[in-house]
Amino acid sequence: MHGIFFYLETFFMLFILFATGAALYMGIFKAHKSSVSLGAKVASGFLSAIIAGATWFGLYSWSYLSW
Amino acid sequence: MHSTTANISYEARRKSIWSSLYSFQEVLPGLLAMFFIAIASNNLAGVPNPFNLENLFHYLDNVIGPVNGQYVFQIFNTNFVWNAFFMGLFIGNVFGVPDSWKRGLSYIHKFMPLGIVMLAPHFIVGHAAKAGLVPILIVAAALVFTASVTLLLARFLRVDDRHASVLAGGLATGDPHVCAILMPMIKARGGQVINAFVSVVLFGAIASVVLPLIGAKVGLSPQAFGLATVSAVGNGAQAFSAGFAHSSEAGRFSIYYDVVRHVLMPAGFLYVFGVMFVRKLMFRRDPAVNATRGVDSIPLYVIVFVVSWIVASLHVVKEPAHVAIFEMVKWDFSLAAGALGLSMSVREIWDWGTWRGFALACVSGTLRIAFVLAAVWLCAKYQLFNF
Repeated sequence: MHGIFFYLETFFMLFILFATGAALYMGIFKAHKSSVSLGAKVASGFLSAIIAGATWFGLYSWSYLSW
Repeated sequence: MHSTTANISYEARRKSIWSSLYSFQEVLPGLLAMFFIAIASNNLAGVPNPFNLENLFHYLDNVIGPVNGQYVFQIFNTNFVWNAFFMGLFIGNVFGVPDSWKRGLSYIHKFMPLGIVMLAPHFIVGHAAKAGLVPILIVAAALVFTASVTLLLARFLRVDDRHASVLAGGLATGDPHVCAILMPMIKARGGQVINAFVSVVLFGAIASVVLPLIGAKVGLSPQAFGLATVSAVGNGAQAFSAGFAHSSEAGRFSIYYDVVRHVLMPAGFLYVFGVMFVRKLMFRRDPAVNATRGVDSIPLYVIVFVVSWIVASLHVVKEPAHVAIFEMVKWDFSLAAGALGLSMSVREIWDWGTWRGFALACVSGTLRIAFVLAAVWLCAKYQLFNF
């Protein structure tokens, strides 16, 4: 870990989380389309966030806790 | 009529200089595609993803075992640019690219110049000083000779001048990265860049096998041969492989002298750009002159790069900052290479002459080997340095 990355890492983690969530929301669930109902959009949003969170929790903890 | 209407509607919705840009929603799918290809290809700063192509190649390198002390995938020059490119090429050609990605992928035209500027602190000219003046002059002369010969021979082999320019840069500097660096400067097509890259890497692999055989006949000392590998083969691991194939000592001298080639690399691509830019200005109306067409003046990012290179060489950028900036370069080029791969069909790589690029690399690369061996042999004979 060098210099500025030490301070930026928290922000970067949030960015990765949102990027993954957005990719799942639009790419897998296709919930960004105007034809999708509000309920489906909200449900897809939650599901995307949970999957993204679980994935990166696993990867970060693997990397930093060395389990 | 249609364009007038479009202009009025643009003027109506224009609020600032940023209004001409695509909206965030329009570019997001393409940017996300580049992002995920980048983190699936390379170990990038801030991303703890171990399941990527770089680590797969590293694993396979250890399964295969080293050749002349070098990893096989390193000899074939896999790195952060090409890993992302190959993944993008695979995904784009197997699964296709949705239209919604294309606006985001156009950001490659911003990422490439940005990456070039950020590369500047990587080349501290003073690091070459330890090698002494004569080795620096030999490497510089080989660089100019190879680039010039490649550009001249391209006319006889009827290779497109943009294709020849990126090939000349890659071959002369001994680094296929330069093919990608020259892409925005020369306005080369993606297919030409990849064709040139493959040609440089393949010829380098052949040269790394042939040079030790010739070196044994010429009777150079390990130190002289180490210097010859850096200039005549280049490409890092390929030069080291040639050096260690000669002897352990020659391999160590290859590593020692490689820094000279490395820090002079910008001179190589600036030379090729300068020559082709002046040529375009001289023969502006010639339809065969395509290189740098559309580049009306020296681009701002090239000027910024040169200034940054000079500033970096004066040790203004300290080592930790240099390491951090290079991590950003890895990010930048991984994103750009992913976009390049996605937006290219495999056929396009061969459209610019399947064999012509490789033939040009072989002919000018062989002349370079002869030039370097003659220069090193003469310097050793007349004791211009302590070989």
